Amino acid sequence: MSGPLRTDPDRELVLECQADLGEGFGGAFRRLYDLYKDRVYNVCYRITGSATDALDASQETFGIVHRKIGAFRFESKFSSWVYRIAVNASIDIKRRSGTRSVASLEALQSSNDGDGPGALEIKDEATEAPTAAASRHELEVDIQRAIDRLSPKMRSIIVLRYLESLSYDEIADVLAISLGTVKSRLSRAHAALDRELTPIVDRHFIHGG
Amino acid sequence: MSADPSSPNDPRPGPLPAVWLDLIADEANGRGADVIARAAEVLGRAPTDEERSALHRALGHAVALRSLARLDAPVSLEGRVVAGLEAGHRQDRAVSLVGSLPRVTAPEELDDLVRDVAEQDVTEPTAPAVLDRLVAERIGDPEAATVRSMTGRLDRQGAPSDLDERMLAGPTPFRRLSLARWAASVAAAVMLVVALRLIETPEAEEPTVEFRITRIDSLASSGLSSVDRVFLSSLTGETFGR
Repeated sequence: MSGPLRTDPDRELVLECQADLGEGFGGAFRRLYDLYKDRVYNVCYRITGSATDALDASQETFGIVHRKIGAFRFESKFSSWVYRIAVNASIDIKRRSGTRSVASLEALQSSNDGDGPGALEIKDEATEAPTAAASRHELEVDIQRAIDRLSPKMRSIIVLRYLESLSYDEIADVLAISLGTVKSRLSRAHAALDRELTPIVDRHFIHGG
Repeated sequence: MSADPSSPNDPRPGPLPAVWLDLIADEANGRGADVIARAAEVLGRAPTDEERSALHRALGHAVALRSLARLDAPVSLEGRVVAGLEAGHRQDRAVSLVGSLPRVTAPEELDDLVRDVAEQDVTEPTAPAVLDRLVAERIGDPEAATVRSMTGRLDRQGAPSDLDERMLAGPTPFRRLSLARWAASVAAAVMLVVALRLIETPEAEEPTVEFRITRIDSLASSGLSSVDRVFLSSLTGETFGR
C-alpha cells in the first residue's frame, strides 16, 4: 500500500474542490467530473455488466466523492480513491440488482446506434464491413459475459488491470490488498477465465483471424 | 505470495507463474518481443509445456480484454450527478437551517402552570361502597352471585310495537272464539274429568271380600234370614218348613 503521496497529479484540483465545497457541481468539481467521468463509467460498466447499473453506480460514485472530498487527506492517490469508490459502488449495486445477466447483444447494439450515450468507440465503423461489425459486437458480448461470470473480486482486478491499465501498486491501493494478493488473485482470475474466455479467443482471434 | 482470502468459488492458481503477469500485460499492449524467451528469462529456467500453454492462453485473455472498446460516459450521467448533488445540497441546507434555529427560553407562565399542577391536592381514589356488598355476596353465595351477575347483564327487552297494535285492535283471539267451539272445549274437558274419575273409582271402592263357612243340617233349624233360606232352598231343592 502506498504511503502519503506528495506528487498526486490531481492534488491541485482536489484542493480547489475542497476550497469551494459549497459550489455544488460548478467550479472545480465540474472539472474533476469531466476528468473522471469516462474512467468511472467504464469501471462501473465492466463490473456491473449493465448500462443501467453502471449509470447508477457512476452517479453514486460522484455523489460519494463530492460528499467526502473535503476529508480527503492524500493518504492514497486520489485516482485510486475514486476507483475504490467506483468499484465498491458497482459491486454493491450489482449485488442489489441481483442481475447475473450481462449486457445483451441488443443492448450493446442499441447503445451503439447513433452517437448517443454509451456509444461504443469504434473508430472506423463507417468503413467497417457489416459482418465485421457484427462479429465485433458479438465478441464484446462474449468477453463481457466471461468477465461477468467471475467473482466480484476477480472481476474488479481484471477490469483495473486490463481495461484501466493500473499498475499492481495502484490496484493494491484501490482494493486495499497487498501486492502479493494482487498477483495471486490475478493469476487465479486467468485460471478462471480459461474456461470462459479461451474458447472465445480461439474462435475470434485464431480461427476468425 | 501472500494468502488470498478469495471466495471459495475462486479456482486455485493455475500453472501460470505470477512473475509472468507483467510480461502478459506488455505483450497485450504490443510491447512484447519474443515472449517465450523473456518468459524463460524472468522465470530463470525453461518453461514447461504446461506453463508455456498457460502463457499463451493468458496472452489471449489479455488481448481479448484489451480489445474491449472504451465507453463514453453517457450525457445523462451529468444530469443525474447534478441532481444528486443538488438534492444533497438541499438536505445540507435544511440540516444547516434547522441547526441554526435560535434556542428559545421557556415563558414565565410555564412556571405558574407547573406550580399549580404540583400543588394540586391529589387524593388517591377510594373504592365505592357498593364494592363491599358485591364482594360479600360473591363470597357468601358464589353461585347466586354468579347467576345474579350474569342475568344482570342481560338486556331488558322492550315490548314490541305489535303488542300496542293488538291491544288497540279490540278483543283478544280468545274472546273471538265461536260459542260452538267454546262449548266443544268445555264438553271435552268434562269428559276428560269423568273418564279420569271412572278410572280411579274402582280402585278406591274395591270391596273387601270375607268368606265364612257354616255347616247347616237343616234350613229350618238354622238361624238364617228368610232371604238366605230362599236362596239356599233353590240350590238344594229342600223346602224349608216341612
